[in-house]
Amino acid sequence: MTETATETLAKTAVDLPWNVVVHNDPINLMSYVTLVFRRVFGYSTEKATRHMLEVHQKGRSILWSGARERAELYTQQLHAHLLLATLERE
Amino acid sequence: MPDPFLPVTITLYNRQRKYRIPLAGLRRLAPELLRAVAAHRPGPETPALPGLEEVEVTFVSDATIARLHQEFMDIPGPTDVITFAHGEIIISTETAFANAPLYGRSFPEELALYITHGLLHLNGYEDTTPAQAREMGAAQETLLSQALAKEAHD
Repeated sequence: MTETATETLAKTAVDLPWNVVVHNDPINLMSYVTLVFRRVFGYSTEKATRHMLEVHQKGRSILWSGARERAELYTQQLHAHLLLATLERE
Repeated sequence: MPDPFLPVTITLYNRQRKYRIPLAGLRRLAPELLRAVAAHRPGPETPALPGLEEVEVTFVSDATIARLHQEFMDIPGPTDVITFAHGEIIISTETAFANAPLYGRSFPEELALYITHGLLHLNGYEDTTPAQAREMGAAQETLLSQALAKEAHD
């Protein structure tokens, strides 16, 4: 019993996180992108603005990392707001 | 003479279709405005402008600016211009078109005035109190006239 439990834990621990990545696009207003980050992730204006500027200046930003299902949901929500978002694994 | 403000670029975008705007003229004028504003700082505090690489000016509809007005400032309804410290100036062409005749200005002048207003905010000007608003109002009129005169001269 104990052994099985340990194995399960070890598997979970090495499961790599999925990254929600937003890419730069020439269409959306910077302030609109900030707004979407606030709404989808519940980030503060400051944090959302930092990510928006990273997208703007470096071309991409990792908005969130974690379990696959949640990452997929966030990516879909970003698409619904017409942002260029992808799901990547580290 | 080296331009102390060359690192900051100013780019204009049109994201509305309701009014034809004189983009080419405004694009010539904008760097003059940037230079004029950069030389005018109201106080000792370090404003956002010198730290920016670029300033983006975007012309939008009343509907778009109203959404940003509500979301970021909690105020319903459209407005003339909204300035973000990250170097973004959003201007409503519909509000500019409606306001221009009220202030005896042409539509292009009204748009140029809003660009000046946004740049002054980025360089530390505020308009929260009546005294601040008067100071800022005087500065934007002066700097706009200077830039228009310089552009006409060049």
